[in-house]
Amino acid sequence: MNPHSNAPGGSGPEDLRAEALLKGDMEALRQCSLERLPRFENFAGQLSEASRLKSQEGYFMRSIRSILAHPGRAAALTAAGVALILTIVPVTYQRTVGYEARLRVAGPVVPGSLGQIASQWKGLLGAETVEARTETRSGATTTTFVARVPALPRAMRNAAMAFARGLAARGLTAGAELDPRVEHVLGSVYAMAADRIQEFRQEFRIDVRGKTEAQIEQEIRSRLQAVGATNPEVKVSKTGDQTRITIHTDKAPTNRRALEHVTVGDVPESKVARVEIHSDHKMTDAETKAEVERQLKAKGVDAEVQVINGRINIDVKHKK
Amino acid sequence: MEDRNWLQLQELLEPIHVRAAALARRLCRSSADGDDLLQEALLRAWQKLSSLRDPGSFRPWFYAVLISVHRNRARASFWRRFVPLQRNGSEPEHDPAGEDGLLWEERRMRAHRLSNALSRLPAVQREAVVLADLEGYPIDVIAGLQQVSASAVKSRLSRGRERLRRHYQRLGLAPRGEPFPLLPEGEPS
Repeated sequence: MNPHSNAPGGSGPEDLRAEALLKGDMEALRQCSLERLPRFENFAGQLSEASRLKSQEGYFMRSIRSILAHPGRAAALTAAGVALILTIVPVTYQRTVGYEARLRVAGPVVPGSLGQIASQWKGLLGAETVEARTETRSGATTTTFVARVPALPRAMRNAAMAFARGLAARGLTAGAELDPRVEHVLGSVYAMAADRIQEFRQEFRIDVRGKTEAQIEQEIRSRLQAVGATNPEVKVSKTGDQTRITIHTDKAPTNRRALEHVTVGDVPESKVARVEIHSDHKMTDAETKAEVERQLKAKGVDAEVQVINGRINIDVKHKK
Repeated sequence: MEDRNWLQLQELLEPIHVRAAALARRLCRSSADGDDLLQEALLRAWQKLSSLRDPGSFRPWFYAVLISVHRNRARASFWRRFVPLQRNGSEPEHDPAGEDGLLWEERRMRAHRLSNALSRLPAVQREAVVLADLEGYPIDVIAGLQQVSASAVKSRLSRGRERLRRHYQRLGLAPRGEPFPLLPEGEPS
């Protein structure tokens, strides 16, 4: 076959010279490749020896040969192996499961004020229960109020410390200790990474009982600012059984948290729904609405959602 | 079983040994590489000989094995960079003297130049060009050996030839005398 019979290139002097050169080189290669070919007898003998060695080749060497012959397949297998290790092989790590906030009040506490402090401490932290312990050592009495909460944002920590200082102003010697509650977990590396990410999440609950709409708004606003939301606009209005909460925050938080989590709740007895909005994703109003509705529906909350220019309106419908 | 395979392979190989060895060398950059390729292909053929149903079709079957091994070696070429290869193309066992020696040296130089140019092509294009232009096989046979359609072979062939031509144009070389005569069209070497 003539290698140049269907040449798409031009036919100028340069092309003709190149083609002539190529033809000559092809013939040269034909002839050179026939020079000093090994004799078949010698070749067969060498191959016989090679085949004997090959048959003795172990699994490891065969695997190495296979990897060298198929590097793409080897890379895929390696990736699959790493993924398998990350998801199956267990490692021991610590996981923060919540926080314990202890308020120590030294000296005897008037029985009436004991309940008052416990209630304030509970409301401040949004805890479901507060445990009060009284210890007497060497004649000194210490009352400890222990509240366990799932999350403890910075604003809540500051508020707790301020509360303890406020008790001192009322003549009580008090101090607050806020410690994470950790547990040792045996899990995969993937689970460990997921838990680490989870620790960046912020959530808060608000007890609205006995609070005015303005107080609820202020509390939500301060909590949002504590988790990094900028210029939050909050509006709460109660009409009969319905509570209308309107929240608008800038999408980009000022701090470095990857996710912004806002917990919106009503009275503690009612269902609490957490709506998560990924502030690092630019979503259209329709996408945001669909996402909020999806999350609320998944939590079993019947609500009407409106999103206009990034402003989210949620009408929570209560069933008696 | 394996010994019997080996004896059968030797019998089948003997008539085509020279052409197979030449093809292997033409596919590779150096003769040593070509001999290695042939050896590896023979070992593969020995292991897979039981899949050969008709001994009469041994040649295309073995060439297909050779092409397959060549493709695998091309894939592993990254690793082979770290393995020093002896290039016997530059180490002749004898140097003919006189006018014959000059012609012989020029032929070796030109063969080496084409081998270098072919080594720049992707493996599939290199195979197509060698099988068509150096071995003289028709498109449908090459399609069978490469296990692709005839149109795919034509495409590979066209691209390979074009790249070769451009490479030669870039070299800026032109033969002063007459080009080497080619074998008659369609006649395998």
